[in-house]
Amino acid sequence: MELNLGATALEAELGAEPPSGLVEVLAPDQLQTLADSLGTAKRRQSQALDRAIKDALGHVPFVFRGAVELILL
Amino acid sequence: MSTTLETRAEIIKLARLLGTPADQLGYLERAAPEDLRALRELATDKLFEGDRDRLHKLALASRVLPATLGATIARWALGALLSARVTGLLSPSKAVDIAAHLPASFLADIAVELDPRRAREVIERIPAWQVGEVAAELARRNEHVAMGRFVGYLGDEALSASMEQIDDAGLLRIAFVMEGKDRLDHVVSLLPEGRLAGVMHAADRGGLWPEALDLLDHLSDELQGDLAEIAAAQGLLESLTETAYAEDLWDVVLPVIPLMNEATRLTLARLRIVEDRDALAAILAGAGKHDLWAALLPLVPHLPAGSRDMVASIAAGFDQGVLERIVDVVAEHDMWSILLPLIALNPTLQGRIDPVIAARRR
Repeated sequence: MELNLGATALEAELGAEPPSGLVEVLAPDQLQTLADSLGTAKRRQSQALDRAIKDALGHVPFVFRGAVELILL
Repeated sequence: MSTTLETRAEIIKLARLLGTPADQLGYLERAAPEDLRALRELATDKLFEGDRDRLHKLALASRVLPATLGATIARWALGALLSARVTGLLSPSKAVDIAAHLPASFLADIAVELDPRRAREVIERIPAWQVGEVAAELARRNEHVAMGRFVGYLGDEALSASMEQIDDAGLLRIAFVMEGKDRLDHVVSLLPEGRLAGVMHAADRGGLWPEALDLLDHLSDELQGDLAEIAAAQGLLESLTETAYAEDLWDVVLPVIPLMNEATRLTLARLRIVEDRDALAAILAGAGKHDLWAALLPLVPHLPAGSRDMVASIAAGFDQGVLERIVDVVAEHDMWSILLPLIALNPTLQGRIDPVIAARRR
């Protein structure tokens, strides 16, 4: 069977097998585009969360900040 | 249910989740809505589960704080994104206590970032008046997809309080993308009298007929009939059917015909669109494609004579299999009094269908 790189990329981003109907109906480059969009969303989300945690740490008294950072980052 | 509309709604929701304009996901239009839904749920899990461990520690710390202090920290230190992630990890009573000390604008910020599936008990316990305030704020921001995710988790009182705050066009947009559309019928039943007419006019004014047709598609037979009658009484059937024609949504409109009262059916049969041969051909093609002959045929006797001639002429060109199916449906529903006068209008049709009827009667 031919390897569908788009489907493989989407599976890697989802951490699970994508719906089989989707893999059947979309071309490999479309699945790759979808995987890229999800990857971008994950990175954006993770960066936003890191930023939110750093902002939150700004409100923690300096002496405790290191310990709290260890927990959260 | 109309696959076209379901797929369109799923694309809007996926686009919102991925932070991508929906028109960039046009290549997904060929996908089945259930596949897109499954993909969106997997993607949501991935996006929301990734940082669960470290957020769990934050939630543990929040548990020991008094609610007023928790609210202050949430608003001024954590911000909406972190607060949303922690919400589902707190005990529901604690989360509701904290929410009681937060302004609607900040709760709206949280709602946009929240996965309601992870905070079901919290959402259910928020008082109706507060849900209404948050809904008003979200409506002001046009956060229809975000609101649509919450509908399935709200009680009747909270739903009513929310719908009071949302304008008619907003209701249509939310209904289009809401999760758990099997609840739509109940949600619509909570609307005060007269509101559905406003919703129909909003569809007409705002180019929201696909959203209105999707709503129609998810209602019970009784409410479908009511909605059709409202559209007819408000003079909106022409506009509704033009959209059905332009977007090939006859699979939504045709099943409603048997649910209409006689006056509405007559109004439908006298619209300008049924005098257009191409439109009639599209209606008949829709009936064939979705096997809706039983719904469509009772309309035929109400059509103007010219339109009946056109129907007979178009049907004369149908494939043999389609003619056989029509005869089967007519036999099953005893619609001979509709079919026989129709075929008498066109000798070609008569010549083709008589043998089918004869074979069926043997």
